[in-house]
Amino acid sequence: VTRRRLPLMAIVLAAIVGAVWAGQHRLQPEYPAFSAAAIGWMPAAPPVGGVTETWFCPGVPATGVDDVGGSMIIVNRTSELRVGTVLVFNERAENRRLELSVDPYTTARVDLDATLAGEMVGGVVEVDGGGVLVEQQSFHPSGNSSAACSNATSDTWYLADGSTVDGSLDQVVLSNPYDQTVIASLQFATREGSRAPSAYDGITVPARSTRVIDLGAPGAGAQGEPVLAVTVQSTRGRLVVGRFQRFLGGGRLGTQVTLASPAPREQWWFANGFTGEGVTERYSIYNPTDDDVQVDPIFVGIPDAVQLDDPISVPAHEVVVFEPALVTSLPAGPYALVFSALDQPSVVIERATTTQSDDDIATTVIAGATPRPDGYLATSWYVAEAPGDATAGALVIYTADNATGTVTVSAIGASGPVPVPGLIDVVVPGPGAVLRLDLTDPSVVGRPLLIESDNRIFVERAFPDGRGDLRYSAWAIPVS
Amino acid sequence: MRTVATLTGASRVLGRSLQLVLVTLVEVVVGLFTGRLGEALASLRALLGLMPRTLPIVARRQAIRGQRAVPEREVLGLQVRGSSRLTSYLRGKETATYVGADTTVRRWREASFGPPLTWFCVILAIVIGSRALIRHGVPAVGEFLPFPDSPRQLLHDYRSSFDPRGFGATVALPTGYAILSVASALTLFRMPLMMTVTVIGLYLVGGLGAWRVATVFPVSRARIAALVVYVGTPLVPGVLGAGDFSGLVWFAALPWLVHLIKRGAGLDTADPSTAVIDLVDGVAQVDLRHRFRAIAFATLVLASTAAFVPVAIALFAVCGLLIAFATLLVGGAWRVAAWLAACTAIASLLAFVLNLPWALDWTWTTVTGPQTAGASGRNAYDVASLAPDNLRFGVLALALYVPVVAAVAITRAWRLTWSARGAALVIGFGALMLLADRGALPIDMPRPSLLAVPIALGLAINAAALVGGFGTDVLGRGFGWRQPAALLANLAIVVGLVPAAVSIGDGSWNTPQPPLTTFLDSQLPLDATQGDFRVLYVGDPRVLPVPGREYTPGVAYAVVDGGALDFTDRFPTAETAGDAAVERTLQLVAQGSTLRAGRLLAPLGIRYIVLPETDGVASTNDAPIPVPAGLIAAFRNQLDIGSLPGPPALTVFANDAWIPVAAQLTGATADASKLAGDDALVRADLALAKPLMVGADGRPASSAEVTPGVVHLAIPYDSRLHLQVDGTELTSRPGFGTATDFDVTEPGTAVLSYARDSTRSLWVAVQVVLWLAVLVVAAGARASFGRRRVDDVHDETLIDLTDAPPLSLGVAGEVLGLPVWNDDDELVFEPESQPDDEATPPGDEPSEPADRPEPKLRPASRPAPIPVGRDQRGSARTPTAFGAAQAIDDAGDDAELDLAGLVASVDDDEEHT
Repeated sequence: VTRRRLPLMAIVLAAIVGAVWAGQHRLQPEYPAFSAAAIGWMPAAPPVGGVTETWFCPGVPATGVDDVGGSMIIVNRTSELRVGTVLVFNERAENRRLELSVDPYTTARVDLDATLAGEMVGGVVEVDGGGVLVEQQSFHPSGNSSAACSNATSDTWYLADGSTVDGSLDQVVLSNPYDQTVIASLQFATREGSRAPSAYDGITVPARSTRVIDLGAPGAGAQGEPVLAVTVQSTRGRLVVGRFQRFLGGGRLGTQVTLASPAPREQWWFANGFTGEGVTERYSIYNPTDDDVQVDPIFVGIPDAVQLDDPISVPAHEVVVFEPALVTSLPAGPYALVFSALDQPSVVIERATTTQSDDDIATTVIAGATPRPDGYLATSWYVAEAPGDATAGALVIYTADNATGTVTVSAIGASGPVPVPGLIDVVVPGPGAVLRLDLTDPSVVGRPLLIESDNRIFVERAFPDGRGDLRYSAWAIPVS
Repeated sequence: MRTVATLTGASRVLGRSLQLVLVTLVEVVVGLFTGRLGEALASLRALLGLMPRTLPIVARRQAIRGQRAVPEREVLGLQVRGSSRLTSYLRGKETATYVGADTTVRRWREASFGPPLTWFCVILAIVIGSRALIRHGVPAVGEFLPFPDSPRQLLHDYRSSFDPRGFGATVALPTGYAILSVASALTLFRMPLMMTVTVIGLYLVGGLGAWRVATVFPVSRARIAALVVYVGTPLVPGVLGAGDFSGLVWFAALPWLVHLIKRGAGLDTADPSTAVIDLVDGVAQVDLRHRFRAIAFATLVLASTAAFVPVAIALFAVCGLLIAFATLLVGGAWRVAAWLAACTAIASLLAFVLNLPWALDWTWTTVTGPQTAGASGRNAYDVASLAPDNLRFGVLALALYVPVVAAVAITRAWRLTWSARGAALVIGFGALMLLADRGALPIDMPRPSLLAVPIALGLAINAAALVGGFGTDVLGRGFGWRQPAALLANLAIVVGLVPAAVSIGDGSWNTPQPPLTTFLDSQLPLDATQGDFRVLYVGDPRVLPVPGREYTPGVAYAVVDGGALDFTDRFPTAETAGDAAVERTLQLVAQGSTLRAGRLLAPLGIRYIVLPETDGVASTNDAPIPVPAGLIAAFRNQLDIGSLPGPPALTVFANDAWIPVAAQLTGATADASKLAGDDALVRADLALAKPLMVGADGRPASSAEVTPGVVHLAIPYDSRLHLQVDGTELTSRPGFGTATDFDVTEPGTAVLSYARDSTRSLWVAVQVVLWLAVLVVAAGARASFGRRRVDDVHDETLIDLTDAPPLSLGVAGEVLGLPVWNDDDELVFEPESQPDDEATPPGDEPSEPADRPEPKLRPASRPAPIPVGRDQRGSARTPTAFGAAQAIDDAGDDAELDLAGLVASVDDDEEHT
């Protein structure tokens, strides 16, 4: 090797080594993300300051007869006047657009049955500048309920827990807020497996209208099903999908409106679980993907976390029911639960809780909470409207961080959020603990609430459904 | 010429006249590029001088008529056929100049059937590989968008100061417009043919450039190796299949640039006989004039390349610096390294200047283009193979790296130096490409194909070094590891060519069928009744049909006018207020801050939003590039943007709120145009807009009947836009905060016009002068432009028919074989049967000088070996046996095509220095 060649050879050898190293250390491809906000998540309060903020309410029964009605509430959570429009439409594609003006820290209410009566009335709320919360409320003799409206439409929606036993109503509400007709298809999974009836293929939803698919109707293909999961897939356009359930048998009673889940996820959280006397719970785990998945439930919020020995196997396009009461190592009482799919986002999980109080029964269904697709978990949550009466154990808070911390609940009045006496800096008992808060202070009654923590939390509400102490479940609205 | 005009018989005088005109024109063109402009102008003057002498010539013809003793056909039979100039030019090809340590020698060139056979095979392979392109035209894939139909319009656009692309703006247009327009004359302004010729021609030009670079190696097989490796890497099939015009232009230009800077640095073919003393480089003594010529020529090549691929200037600078660094690394002369660096720097700077004023708009971001999100996830070996993913056996191309290592390990003398230069290109750009592919570089990088071109050239150089030195460096040394290693490396070259050879079979270099643009044309039809519109493309930058602007890494957007895409769309557009509005809207959409993006885009004339998913090239059905997460969902979520059914390759949305590019606004919409800001826009009623002045998006010069309200032009506010209604000039104002609007109070006929930037003409004039100046320097023209004029035009007796003809130093002298000067003191004769080192056993070069045949003096009349010595004045020159013939033909060594001829002239001048 000549002196001339020596440095050159050294560089060439180094290059060879580098190339071989690079060949053996292949990097995972990085894919660009355009919008996290557009990827399906649970309803959330967007940052204030956007050009417009839009909320989609899938629809509630608002016939206005037999005490069946509905409303939309719009909460201005900012210190400035908010103006916008409310578009209301029903299953007959009738529309009505209202001008909206909401003073700072106040709530506007749209009486749907008075505005535009219909079997199922949905709406779109557009507010300039944003900074609002929108919920739809359903009033029914067999139970009231409310659910946050969606921030976005989607071309897929999933519902994991349904029942048409003993004539129970399980109505899927397809809501099209756009100016174009949407075409969708629907398939469902029962204990017998997955089905995609041709009658549910190519369902048209006219522009600015709702359409109700009654799964338990004669000929609908899902009569008498104790377990019923649904996938709605739009082939043209996008929808908002909700559900109206009226339980009439199978151990269930009550009425509830809920919003469907726009996407399967790999992690689902439930804060307000309970095993014990008078409460029946089941979790419906629906796998709408083409691959079988394994799901691990982990009970937390109890002194010692409980994990099953074997994960739950959920075949593709099928729904599997998991009952915590059958887990012998789980102590009676409250708990929180997280399901973790071992694969890609692949499951949708809902919890159905049936509570017996005196002679009455209430069944409520709630989908789990999920982290935002980018992993974000909120530390602040809103409640659009607190119960009208003092309610014990109305808020159930689970701290996701493995740390101690505090929680403060503020009631939003005309001057803005004001901490509620007795709910200031409430110390979370310990890492991963479940906190139950009473909303008994007069200052919170009927007011919007702001729940803030120094940890990442999940806030589930258990508000009265209008029938004594019976409750319905719903999530508060995380701050995005 | 007067002699020809006087003596040619009547039956042939017309044909001869035409021949004179044609030959003179060709001579002017060739002379312009070969440093013989003076001679060419003399010929032209002589030709033009025939016209005022018509009557005297006629008189002389009549006078001579009676003296014809034999019929003209007998005279013709005695004349030598063919072109004396061409003959002497070809004869010049038979010798080559070799630079030794102290002397420069001219010897017979190796006579081999290899080069023509190789070229025949290469051309045949390219033609076969491109057969579908030749038969059906180049498909509109990637940047291979159709050239505009009218070169005249293209030139007109270039001279204009208004760029109608994108949103339209008063900016300088790309220099490529002018080059395309001028170059279209080569195909008689048939633009589809020009596209085909350009695409295939650039491939060949690149190969020819590699051949020229390899002229530093004295043996033909080295040049053959360089040629086949350079054209045979999988890079080119990938570039052609992807419609990567930028990559193709850069592929064609780089070897020429390297060749020219080496000429500028004085590097030439080293004398093979000096191998034993480990000659680092064949450094010829060249004067400044010849260096300037080389630099000027490199400048022209680089400026032309940058006119289409601006980032080529930066890439070339890196190439030049790497080559200079490698020179120093292996003990090369610092002067050589300095000249290499200086030539690179000067050519780069001048290329930038030649592209002014367009170059003023260049930024690193615009010339590199939008970046990907990060690591591609490709295997490093796949990246290093330079092969596209869809090329079969692409991994075999990795074998081409074996000669790189082998050349570095085995070669000696100047071949080692060139191996180092090739390796520097391979390692330097290989590292850049790998790091860029892994997303590990802190700065934006050009697309991989542009980084791959220097690697391909490095592979070619080292293959040439290895093959060229096989005799001396391998066979001429004792048996050991070198022999099997060299054999293995030679075999690797063959293996490495397999992927490119396989790609020939497709006939269209695996271009997708049908291309993405076909879908676009059918999905977004023009409808004059609807008005002009624009299309917003958003997606991964690799799948956009035109170069985009980066929104975030991995997400780019582009705005084009409605209608079919053409070649001008491949040039990046100037950033305008419209782009800022689009980016702001994209941000709002991404954040979910509005579901009324349609209204925000409406004043910009954006009717369609297209999200490409697969383009058949970078993203295929089998291996799609994922659409940026949330992109489709975010647009589907919008309330005023509706989905359109379409092919799976695209997601197309229609903006329900769009306003035509030129529109008449009335009522609430007219009122809304006075407001600015997104808040106002999302609340605005935009329904009261009617199309107007169709075609104004391409050329803001139109007229239409208008009514009271607002005339809206979706062109970022430009005070050069004027509107007159019945002769009354209206004042323009920003519309919707971005566009150019005019308030109309009375109905009438509106005439839209654009006031051209008066400085544009000056810029163009200066640019033309600069190009011509560099061209003149490159041509080495030393013609006296101060023509001596004579007061009276008179004929003179050129041939005294009564006396014996004098011997002249022109063609006649050549024909008679009379030497004019032959100071052959240092004549070295290499028998023709033993050309240079190729014929000296045991290998290309003798291992010992004693083994070489003794030089012999040759007869002065024999037209053969020509040494280059120094005359008594000390200046280097090339004696020739042909005397005056040398004055006619001092072309370089082996220039097969015109471009080669151009550069050969540079070579030639150096040889004579």
